[in-house]
Amino acid sequence: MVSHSRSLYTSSAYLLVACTGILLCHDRSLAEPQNGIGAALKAWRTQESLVQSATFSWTESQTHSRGEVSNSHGAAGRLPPGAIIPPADVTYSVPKTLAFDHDKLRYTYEGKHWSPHTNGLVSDPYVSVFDGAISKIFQPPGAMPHPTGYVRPEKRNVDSQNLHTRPLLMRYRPFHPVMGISKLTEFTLSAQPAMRGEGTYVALEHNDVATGTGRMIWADPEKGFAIVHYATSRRGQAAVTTDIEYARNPSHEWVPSSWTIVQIDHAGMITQSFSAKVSTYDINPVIPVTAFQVVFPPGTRVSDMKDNVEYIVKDNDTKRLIPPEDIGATYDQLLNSAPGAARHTTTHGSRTLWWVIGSISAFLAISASWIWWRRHGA
Amino acid sequence: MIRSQDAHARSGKLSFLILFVTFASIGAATVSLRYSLSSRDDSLGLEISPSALDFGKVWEAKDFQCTLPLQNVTESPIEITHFAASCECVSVLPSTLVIPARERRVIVVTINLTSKRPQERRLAVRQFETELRPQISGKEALQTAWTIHGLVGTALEPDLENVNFGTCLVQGLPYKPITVKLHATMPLDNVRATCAPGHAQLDISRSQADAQTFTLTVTPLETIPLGPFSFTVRLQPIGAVPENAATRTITVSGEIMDHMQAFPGHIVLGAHPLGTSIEETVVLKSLKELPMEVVGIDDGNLGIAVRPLPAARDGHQSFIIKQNILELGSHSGLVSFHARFKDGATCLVPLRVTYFGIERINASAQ
Repeated sequence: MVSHSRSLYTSSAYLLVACTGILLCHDRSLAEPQNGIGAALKAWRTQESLVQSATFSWTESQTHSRGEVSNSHGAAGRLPPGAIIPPADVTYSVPKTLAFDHDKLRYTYEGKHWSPHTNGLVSDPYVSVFDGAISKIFQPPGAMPHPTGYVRPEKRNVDSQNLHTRPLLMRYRPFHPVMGISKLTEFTLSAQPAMRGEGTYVALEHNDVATGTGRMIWADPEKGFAIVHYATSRRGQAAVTTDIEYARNPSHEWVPSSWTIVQIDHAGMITQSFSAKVSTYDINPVIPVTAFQVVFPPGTRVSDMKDNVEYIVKDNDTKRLIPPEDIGATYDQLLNSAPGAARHTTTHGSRTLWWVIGSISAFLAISASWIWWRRHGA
Repeated sequence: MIRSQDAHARSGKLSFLILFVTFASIGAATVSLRYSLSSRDDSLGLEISPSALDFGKVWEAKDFQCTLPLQNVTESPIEITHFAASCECVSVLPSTLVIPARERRVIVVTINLTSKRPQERRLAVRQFETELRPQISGKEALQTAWTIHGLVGTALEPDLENVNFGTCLVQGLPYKPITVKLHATMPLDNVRATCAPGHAQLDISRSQADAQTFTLTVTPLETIPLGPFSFTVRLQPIGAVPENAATRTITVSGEIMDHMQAFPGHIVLGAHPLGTSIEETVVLKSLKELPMEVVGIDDGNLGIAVRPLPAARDGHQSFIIKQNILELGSHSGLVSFHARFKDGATCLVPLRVTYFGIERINASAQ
């Protein structure tokens, strides 16, 4: 289902842009060097100015190669030695949503996560929001048995540069300082030809000499310079490729309809592949600010990195603070104790131990008394 | 009899008391032994002179070395299994060693003194300190650390210590240079830049606006052969510092590309079900704009089929690459194009094609 809500003004502006695009694209020389880059930048700026808000829903087919998690950088310290996660190639579907309104952004998914405990996929839902002032992440119970929340110190949504949101944000926020394509105005026209079938694209490139990172953009002049290909490389080796397809809606806008993102390791082999298909979208809807906020429900263990405090949300909007002396306690210990006393709280396991010790002590004491009484009591 | 019973009872109480004291003593001894084991002096039986830990004032270098004599003051050999440092800039040789009883052994500590915090980047002199913690065989994990310290002088600070040209350098076309800003932390007459012969032309210029700022321009030479390259540029401050002191180095790397290439050079097709096929376009082009024709294609027999598109403009030649998804998992194949130029010269253009085969029905995993 596709829905649209737009003012007459926006529609007229789109029509103007579309006509300009048709006029510009009529002369194919605009796809040639020098003119191509200027026309692409102009089209992107116009597109960004016309779309203040949007919502998208899509389903992503995710493929993770065997050992992709355990081979990833930084996994060594977090996983048991020798663990291969996932133990086999896995493919599954993940419903996702994205909403943005000016600087505000909400990103959600009903993901999956490989659990070494169950040796299978477990539910891993996720929500990140930024309402223009506060950035939060909320993870309902899934990979963790209890809800988890984070209040982030950043003045942006943590997923503003996420690989999975990039195809949409490149289209609607290319110049945005947080959500946009970094150093977009420093891209130069590439000498490399860019073709797909009969289509010829404008190729722009950017090379960072400090990191050895290269980026390549292909923009389609026939589709208002929509970005159809975005590729990054490390020291000349392909790292991530993103290919985007567009569909023209009744308002003659080119809207992302599907995309494929592929991650490649240093040996050139595919580690992850994500194929997305848009199910619904809405351009320039009115989105209430509450859509970009999350209220952590009771039971959520919250790490507030902004104010440097940890707590569990209790009923009646109260908080069970977690002082440093409680760090290391289990969620249940925290929930059933006063702040600072969680690690002294007797658990079921330790109660059993004390019962055993007490029983043995009592038995020994009774035995000793009986022996003493037998010898001396009479 | 009563006296005897009293004496007997006293004797019993005494026995009970002795038993109690004995058990209490055993308990206390156990606790105190455990306590002494966990908190005993972690000097480890190794002595090191405090002066050896102070390297004084030195110019910064990537491979500054200091030697530390370790004295075993015990009657037993000590085996060091590992040295842990508080900074990644430290390495120790030998990394493991056994010091016999009452003997001394020397370790060599190499420190990258150019490692610094951002706020220290423009300081002429800064305090340097790093901890080195020996791991002794059979001892607790947390042991006493030695603090190696001193003052480090910096004469020249480059903006970048590694620069990479990526794949921008095409053989036969002019090489675009890379510039690096150099900031002097003290008055310098000039900076001398050198590298191994045949790698690059190096130019140093002083900023008109700021005499403390220099610019290094690195232009690779055409003598570098095709393929990846890496070389080191040595920067020597001149004036106010001793000869061969305070040198800095910059690593320059990249790849010299052939003018004849496939674009893209690596086709990445993503995950697709077994039995399906995917198509992608590749363009063969000489970046020197030399007319050529493809006279042969070797598809490597990996389920790849290649068919030419109608001749494009500017001497490009385009092909549709059709990849049949034959196997599960990530697979790469190589297609080789044999191209011939007008002058009869030939070249081989490689194209890598990678796909990820998945089960046709993956509902079970969903």
